[in-house]
Amino acid sequence: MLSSKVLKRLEGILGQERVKSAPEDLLAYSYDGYLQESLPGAVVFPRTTEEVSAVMKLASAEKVPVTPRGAGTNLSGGSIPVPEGIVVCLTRMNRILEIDERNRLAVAEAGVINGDLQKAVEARGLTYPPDPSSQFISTLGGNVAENAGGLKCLKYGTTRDYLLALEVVLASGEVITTGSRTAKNVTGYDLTRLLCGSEGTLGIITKITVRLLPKPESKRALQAIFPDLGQAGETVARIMGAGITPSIMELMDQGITGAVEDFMHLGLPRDAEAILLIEVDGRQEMVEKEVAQVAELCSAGGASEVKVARSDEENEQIWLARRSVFGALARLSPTTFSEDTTVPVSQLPLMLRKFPEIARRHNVRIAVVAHAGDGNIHPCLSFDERDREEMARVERAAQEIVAESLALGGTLSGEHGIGLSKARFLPMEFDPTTLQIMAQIKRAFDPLGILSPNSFLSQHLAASR
Amino acid sequence: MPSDSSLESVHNCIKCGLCLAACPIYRQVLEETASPRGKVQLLKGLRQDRLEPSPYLEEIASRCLLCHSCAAVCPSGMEVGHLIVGLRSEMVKSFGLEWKKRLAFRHLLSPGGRFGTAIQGARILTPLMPPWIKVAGISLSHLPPLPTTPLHRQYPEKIAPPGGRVRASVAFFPGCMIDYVYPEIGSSLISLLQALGIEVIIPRDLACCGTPLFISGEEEILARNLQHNLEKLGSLPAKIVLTACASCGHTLKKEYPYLMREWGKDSSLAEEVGAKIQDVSVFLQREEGLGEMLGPLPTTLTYHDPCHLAKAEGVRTEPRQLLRSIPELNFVEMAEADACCGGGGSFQFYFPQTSQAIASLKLNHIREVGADIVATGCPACRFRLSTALDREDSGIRVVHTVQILDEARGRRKR
Repeated sequence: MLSSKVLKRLEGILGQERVKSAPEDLLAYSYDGYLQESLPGAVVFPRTTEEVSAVMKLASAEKVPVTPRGAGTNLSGGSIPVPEGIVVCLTRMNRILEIDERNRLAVAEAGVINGDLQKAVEARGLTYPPDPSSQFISTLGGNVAENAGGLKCLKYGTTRDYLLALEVVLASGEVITTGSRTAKNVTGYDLTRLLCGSEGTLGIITKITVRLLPKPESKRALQAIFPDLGQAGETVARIMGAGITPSIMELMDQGITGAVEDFMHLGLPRDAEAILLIEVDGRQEMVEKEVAQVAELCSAGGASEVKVARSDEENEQIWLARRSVFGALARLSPTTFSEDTTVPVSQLPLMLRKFPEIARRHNVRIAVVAHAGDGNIHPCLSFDERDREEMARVERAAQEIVAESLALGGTLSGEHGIGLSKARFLPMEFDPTTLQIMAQIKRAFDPLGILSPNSFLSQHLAASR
Repeated sequence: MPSDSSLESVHNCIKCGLCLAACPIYRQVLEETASPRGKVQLLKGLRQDRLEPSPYLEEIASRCLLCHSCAAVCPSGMEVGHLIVGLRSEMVKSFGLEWKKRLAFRHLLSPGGRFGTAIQGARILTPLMPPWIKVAGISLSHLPPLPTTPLHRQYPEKIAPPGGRVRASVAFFPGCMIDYVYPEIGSSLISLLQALGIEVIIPRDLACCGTPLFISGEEEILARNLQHNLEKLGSLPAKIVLTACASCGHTLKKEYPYLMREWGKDSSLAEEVGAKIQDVSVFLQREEGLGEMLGPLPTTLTYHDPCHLAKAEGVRTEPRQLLRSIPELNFVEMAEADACCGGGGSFQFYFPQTSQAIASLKLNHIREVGADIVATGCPACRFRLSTALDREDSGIRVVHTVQILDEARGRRKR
């Protein structure tokens, strides 16, 4: 239990109603979208930056660990608390403060749901592109802390590419602001981008200023069926090489297609090794031209069938297959873990070939869906976490995926983060000096090490002390 | 109640959090314990002895509308509603039913219960109450005027169409809300069926379908209601039993067979009865003669999908097609037409603030499309929507789909 003195003082800051420590509350905040669980000592719901600051001052004085959290959709375990720590849940800081059309920016509190911001800016003819699949519930604060991606990253980039400024509460309780409202800014170190993807280790993000784009006039999807997986991967690289940038380019392998067919019966060919789903957006005339070009490249690249949507309904129909992937996989087994390895696009065909081998070697089930255009691959492992022997095989397969991807010039994680899920693999990607610098950055922001102690850096901080 | 083996499905929750976005209560409360994922994880904790039953857990379990919104988006296809009922029944096992519910279930809603008498008592007493006495945050003066005679006393058991030509014969299960609170919904349905030459049978001595008992985690009286109704409905010669209450319909059609299976009993009679149950909108939509009976109704109307009709039974197009077939009626689709109205049975009485906040979202969508009338397919939604709208003196009418159809029939020039 957290000491009653700390609980009392938390209640003094926030009022009883916004400090929870009943066993039910603690259990409900012991997890996120990752596998592990750990009970905190209290959960608090601040409404203002001042309240977050007061909580952090108290936590610093008492040296109590703090884990910031939004909606808890984190896939790498970064929002799982440490025992006896405080969860600072930001869901109630959910006001959109400003939408500025002339400067094409929006300012929102950290607890605003991504989808709510999208809706608000779209009503004014603008768009906020980052679209993680959790977009209808995940918070902007969480999106920034994890540098969330999504389907449209190929053309539009990730959360990082839309950040202009942040307001951040440090571990000490001090409040800083980074960046500015300007499109250009080279003044000093780019702390905005450093905080983005810092997984809650450097500060609690409370306010976010994002860049907006005009909403694209039109969009059009196509579906291309490839008997050969390698040719599908090659076609992705060729489309990129042809100077066309689709907004979305997704690949589903045979395992995924089979699972989707079992679940949805959409009539997709089970014998095809890969299906590419591609969307082009922009001005109407450009979209028409580019979609025809992409269709041609697919046919020339070995597609046995190319279907271009002719209406919004057909567009939706094409995306239905992709949207059903998660549901189809979740039904295969009690536990599903989506890996997140990423390789340079040109290495995609080679990497895709590795998964069936790895699956066979470790006797695990791996189905692959990929944001093919940006090389971000989600090999999905299906298992039952209660089966320890199977868990061990899954673990070995995951390690091999990481090793293969790094050998091809890839990275551990494209968009899900490191958190608890991949911390042990960090030394495979970073040399000791790099890890040392990261530990020093962490200490500069949080000398007591109370923020997100369950983070990707925890082992390396302990080692370098 | 879900069996032990059904409750094992808590382990299929992958904790993705997609249900949080769909849950009307989480969207208001913004706390994990209010979410479907949170409740499933708490049930898992309870079953793993990591958590003990507590009054707080009981409160958490009761904070659910059973609107099926979460189940509709769950990638693992979990029957979240059944799990929450399972959690509630665990609480009932530990603490018993709350006294108000125990009294109401035993004396009012059990077979031969006195719900009708209670309504008559309320009808007489309500006008005598001071306005500060509120139910669900609603002043009693805003409650609907209660009828003097329940539906089943207004009609004989068998209602033949005028002229004696019987094209077909159907039974009608009115349910407590239509029988005792909104008998005019039943009257509208009966007059439509009569005009279509269809004989209607309202079986005597039906018991409450059991929805309030089921969703409270009560089992004993529920089993009696279920047995009673299955015998009554099973012995009817009619091949079709109509319902105009989405909740009654869903319970009779799907939950009866489900419960029999979970109780390890023979479910064949329940399946057989379930196959006879049909929502009025599905039935009427197939009646070809209906269209030409309808006269012009120049008004702007929108439709609210009851959760137990749209999400639980997949009935979405039929009511809309019926409403669109009314001449000169301007049918407008509101945003999020299938979002819950916030009723959830006794939820609105136990959590009036949350219920009102959810209802307000619905009212905004209704106002946005400029509707004069909201039609819906469930008396419980009608109750929640009209108490919310009346509170604002909006002048917007809430009706059941069959009422507006009957109104249009009355406008037909003869």
